[in-house]
Parts: sequence; C-alpha cells; structure tokens
Amino acid sequence: MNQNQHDDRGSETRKRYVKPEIQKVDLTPEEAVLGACKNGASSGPAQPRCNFPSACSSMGS
Amino acid sequence: MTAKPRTCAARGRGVGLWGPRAAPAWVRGEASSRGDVLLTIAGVTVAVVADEPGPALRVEDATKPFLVDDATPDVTIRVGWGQLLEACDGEQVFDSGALWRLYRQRDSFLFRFSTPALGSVPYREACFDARFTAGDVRLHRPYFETRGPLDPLEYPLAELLFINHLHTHRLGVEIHGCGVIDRSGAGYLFAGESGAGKTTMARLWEGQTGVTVLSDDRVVLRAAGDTVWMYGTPWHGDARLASPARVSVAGVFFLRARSEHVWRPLDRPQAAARLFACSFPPFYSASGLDFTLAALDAVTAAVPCRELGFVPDPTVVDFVRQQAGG
Repeated sequence: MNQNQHDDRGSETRKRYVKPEIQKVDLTPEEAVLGACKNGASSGPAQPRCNFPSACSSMGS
Repeated sequence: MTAKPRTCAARGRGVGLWGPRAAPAWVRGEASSRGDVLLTIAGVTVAVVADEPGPALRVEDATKPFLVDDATPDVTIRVGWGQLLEACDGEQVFDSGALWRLYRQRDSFLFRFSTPALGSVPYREACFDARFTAGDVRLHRPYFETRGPLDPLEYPLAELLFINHLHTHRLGVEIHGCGVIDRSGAGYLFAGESGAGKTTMARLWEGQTGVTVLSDDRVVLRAAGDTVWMYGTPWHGDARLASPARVSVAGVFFLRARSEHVWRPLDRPQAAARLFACSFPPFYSASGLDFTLAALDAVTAAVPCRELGFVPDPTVVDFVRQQAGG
C-alpha cells in the first residue's frame, strides 16, 4: 500500500471536523426558583403592591 | 429578653409526628371530620393534618381532583398557628430573592416565607426532615386574624415540597410545561418559560374531542424503565387546567411564537439544556442537581424532542399529530 492509497481510504471513513460551539439556553431565574408571580397585573406575595393574603390564580405561570 | 428562635426539633418533631395528639382519622382508618387533607400528585401522597385548635383548611378547586380517600402517605405534614420570629436559627443555604429562603438546621430543612407587604416577620415557616417525608408548617397568627379557611400548602410551598421530595427519592422532575393526552393515547409535553404559549397551546387542545389536558403550566416527569410518564398537577396557569391523570410521553415540544407552524429536531444536549431551563432545579442541593440533570438526560434519550414554532390557531393540533406520528 502506498501513501496515496492510505490517505484515500482514511478520508472515506473520516468525518468532517465541526468545531464545537457553546450554545446558550436562557433560564429565567425568578421562575426557576419559584419566586415569581405571573405578571404585574396579578397580585401576589412577590409583588410590591401585594394584596396578600389572597389566592393568586396563576402563581409564577 | 429576646426569645430564641425554635428549631424544627424544638417544635416537637423529635418526639414523633403525633406526640400526645391522637393520630388523624385516616391513620385510624376512619373518615375525617376535621378537614384533614389527603392528596396524591404524580404518585406522591401527602397528608396534611391541622392542629386542634388550628387553622381551618381549604382546598383549591384545582386541587380537589387530586384528593384521595384512602392511601398511605409518603409525606405527612402538620399545620398550625405559631408566633414566628424575625430571626432564625440555622444556616441559610438559599435565598430565592423573592418569597422564600431555605435554612439548614442539623438534620432538617426550614423554609421561611416573607413579604414586605406584611413585615419583617415571616408569614409562614415550613420545616421538613432531611428526606422530605415529614413536615411542620406554622402560620404567623397575627397576620391571619381576619382570614377564613387557608390553603396550608399555598404557593410556592407545595411545589417546593414536591420538587425536593421527588429529587431526594430520585422519583422525577417538575417541568414548566403544558401536558396533554391526545385522543390516540399519546402524551405530548409543550415546554417553555412564561409567555412561550403553554396556556395558549392548552386551550387549543382543550377544544379537541377526546383530549385531556393534564396542566397548562406544570407537569411532573417520572421515568420507569424506557417509559417517561407525565403527570398532571394542580399548579395551573391562566387556563386553570389540571388533571391527576398520567400519560406516557410520546414527544416533547419547546414552544416558540412564529408566523407559521414549523418544527426542527433537537439533539440530546440541546434538548436536555432546554428541559433544564424549563425545570425548577434545586440549586441548593448538589445531589438534587445531579439527579435533575440525569433525569432530564434520560428523558431526551427516550423521547423525541423538537422545537415547535406555531401560530395560535387550532391547526397546530393536527400539525403536532403529523409530526409526532400520532
């Protein structure tokens, strides 16, 4: 086997190199730690203008 | 003299859950007449027993389908009044930056819930053993003088309990997502953060014949062998959809608002990362994080995961069915 034959056989089986990339995934911290109410329109213990004690219908949704 | 904060042990847990108090009715095999609560969510049964005298317990409408009459509890919780203190004994291990903080007290965990609307003293404390099988919830009496019946596990306590019980016992993971059972019996999870379209998607499926919506906001995933089971929970979103049913997951879809229905497959690392971002990781527990990552990796190994861009109209239902082969 000469060098050219070896190279041809290797290139047939070798995968094309793809440089690894870091992909970022957004995480919403206040939701992840159960610290949020759904939005500013609904009152809840986490809101500055809280009407607590009251039952929030959509906690951290 | 400043009163010393009481630890979980000082509340009497060290002498057994019931102490001199008679065991609740469901333990004795009798019907309860005191409003004790027994419910099962994602295969985990929780018993909530009120002190006498103590607060009257209330169950939210969405929670009522999860009530059970006869089951052996995995977690037992006592609820009662207390005179809470601003100070706390124990090491703070986590601050949510909002409602709650977590403390470690020897072999127990203490959650303290506060809001500036009420003052510097917590309105509620919940103390659990290290395995999250027994708990004691104290409500700061001065804040509740004018209130009627109370939900003892009001947000976010119920979810904190379940998240920690699930990972401690390596059972499953709670996901921020909408779960449906299609007419074919296939289960689909639509995951995403707030505003991604979970409730919108839930309402579109709700209108379909033969479909059950498990939740428009929170589901629990549990793996059993090669099967990933998805359970409904009572912790709904704006659509107020909740079912105690479960289904084998046939597909996971990460939602995005688009001008057309379109999907693309995700590889396992991408899918696992997206699921992690849609979960409620116990950042304060190294073992809990390990389990969460492993559990989500197992989900991506067993279930096809896709990104789904959709237009909020009913045609997305058939689009999903076609892509999922359902």
